[in-house]
Amino acid sequence: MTPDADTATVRERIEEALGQDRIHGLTVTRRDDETVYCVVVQSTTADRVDGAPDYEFPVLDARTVVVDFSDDTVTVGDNGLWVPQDQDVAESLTQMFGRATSDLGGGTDPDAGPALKSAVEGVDVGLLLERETELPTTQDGQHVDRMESHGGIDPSRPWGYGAGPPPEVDDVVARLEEADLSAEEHLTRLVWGKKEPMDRVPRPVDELAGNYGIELLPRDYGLVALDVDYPGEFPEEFDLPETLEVSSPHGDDSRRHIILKCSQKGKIKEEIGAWAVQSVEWGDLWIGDRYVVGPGSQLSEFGCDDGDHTRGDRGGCDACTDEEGGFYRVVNDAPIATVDAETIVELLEVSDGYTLRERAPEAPDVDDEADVDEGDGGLPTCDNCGASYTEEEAPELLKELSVGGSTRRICRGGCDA
Amino acid sequence: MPKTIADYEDAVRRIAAKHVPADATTEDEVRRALSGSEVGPQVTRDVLDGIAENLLTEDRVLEAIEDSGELPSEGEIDAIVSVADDYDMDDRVETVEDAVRSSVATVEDVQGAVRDRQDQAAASGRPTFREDVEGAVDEVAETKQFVGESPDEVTAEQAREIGAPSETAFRGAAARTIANGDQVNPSEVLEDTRSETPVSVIRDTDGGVVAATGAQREELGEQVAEQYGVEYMSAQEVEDSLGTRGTGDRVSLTLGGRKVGEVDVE
Repeated sequence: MTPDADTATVRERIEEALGQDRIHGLTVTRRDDETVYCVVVQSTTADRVDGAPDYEFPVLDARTVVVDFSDDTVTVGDNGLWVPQDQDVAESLTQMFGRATSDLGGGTDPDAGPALKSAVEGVDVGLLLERETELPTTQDGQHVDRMESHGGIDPSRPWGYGAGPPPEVDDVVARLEEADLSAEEHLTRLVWGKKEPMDRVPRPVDELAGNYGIELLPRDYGLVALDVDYPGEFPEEFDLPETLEVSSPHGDDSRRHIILKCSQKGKIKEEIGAWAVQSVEWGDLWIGDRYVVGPGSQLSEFGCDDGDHTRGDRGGCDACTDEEGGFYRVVNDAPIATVDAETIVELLEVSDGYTLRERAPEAPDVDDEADVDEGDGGLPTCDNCGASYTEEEAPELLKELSVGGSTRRICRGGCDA
Repeated sequence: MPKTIADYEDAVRRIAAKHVPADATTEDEVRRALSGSEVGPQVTRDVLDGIAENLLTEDRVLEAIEDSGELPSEGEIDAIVSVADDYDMDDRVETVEDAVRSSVATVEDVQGAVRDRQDQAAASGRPTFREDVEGAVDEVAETKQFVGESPDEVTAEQAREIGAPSETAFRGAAARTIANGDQVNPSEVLEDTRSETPVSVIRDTDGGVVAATGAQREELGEQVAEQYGVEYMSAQEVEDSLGTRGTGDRVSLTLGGRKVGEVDVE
């Protein structure tokens, strides 16, 4: 198609849309008013096929192309098949389609089995299909076999292998309710013997199985956690109220999660830039999109992450290989204390290693800001009416919200307000 | 990133225009409409989901409102529906906006219900309490869902907005005001009495006397009140005459329009 042409043939449009090396054939498969569906077989490379590996190896690609004369569009659909660019493969497919043709035309015995072909030397399709494979033993989507073979969890425990959460969860529920927080919104399943999440879906207690997490949730009112990995670095003079504390199986009890409640977590988010983790010398501050492992949860040998041990490998630490060890335990059994956002921000400020505020101008939170329209001249702008506001006015006059994963802004109160 | 159906704007618009009826305003309804149409067998489940998730629906708008963390105003619903429509489908904008408006509580709904409760309280000659605000919010919640904020959060905000303490907090503050009045010995302010049974004098925050109360004999109380140029009131009358003024976390307790104390709004 020449750049100045006003019209182009369907052939030219298809060739341009596919950008292929060579078209081997085209079949019209369906017509719906002014829309015509075709299947085109082409030679191309895998990296140019959506859904194929991003490598430049040659493939045969059969793909649906939709030609719509109502608006003169030619669209390459995602309904396609790609296979190695190989004559034997193409021939096998031809034979397979030939059999389908015969079946559809009534030329084959209805009880006849499928046509079986192999285009790969050394792979007998009959033997392939009859070969026995071992099914993994799963329960609730978790691999019981693997857990049993790695040890470290006592199957005699009433909650072993996913029968239910450890009994300590009842105390956690009581502490959450005491703090006016819904247990059902905060508790999630973790992988048995590990601290990895199953799906981060909040569940009622009777749907928990084995290890469990306590979600902090990215919302203004709720939990924050201090993950104290290096207690010696924690500012000694800083006065935090007594609260619920949970230790991990690794290190002594001073390595712990301090769990607090705050009604203005949004202010902390503003300070650190996102519902994220803020690392300092003593460990991490978690405010939103994180969870703490619930007390009573137990790490197994393969769930251990102590020292250089890699999770999933055999040979964890002594605690995690011991069926009586590896527990997360409550080390301070107290009600979840409430702190204000200023206290947490102050804690960051007196903590060594807190540099975000100094870094912030050079490294804004790209994820949060990426989709926000800054409008002409870089001013924050309403995505509905286009009104612009100064940086100072924007927080008060614009409302930020996420639509389908991207951030949009509207005038607070509505665009006519 | 592999392209998804959402990247083919024209395709989504045409498929939706042809196969999704205008009254299919939720994701599920869109998905069902597509599955049942001739498009259904031609596309994968992912494509159906992609269209349903990217098309303007009530779910998409509700998620956006929820993400804003605030109860929307009517104007904001209008704006959110517009910015949530990635495919410029005016017909859908109208039907989805109507559906959302009829199901989601707005700031205006709550404020209207609260105003009614304020009018009722004023007609009964008493301040508006947090319980009145709760009642108003519950009334709205009976017919509409709260998205962005819970009814409890809205109640707390509205109570602060209009300065409505809980009745318990108000009664407690009233009792403290009465109990903390200055104890005046009648014989010190009246010439013709030797009574030393104290009368309580309620002062405003500037120190001026606003009322006298708590006399053992009403007649003696009235004489003491007359000396200060104020009215004598029984404790019950004082409580019934107390009002509130201001907004926010803490409001003034007033008697005869003068500030005699403060009460927390929770």
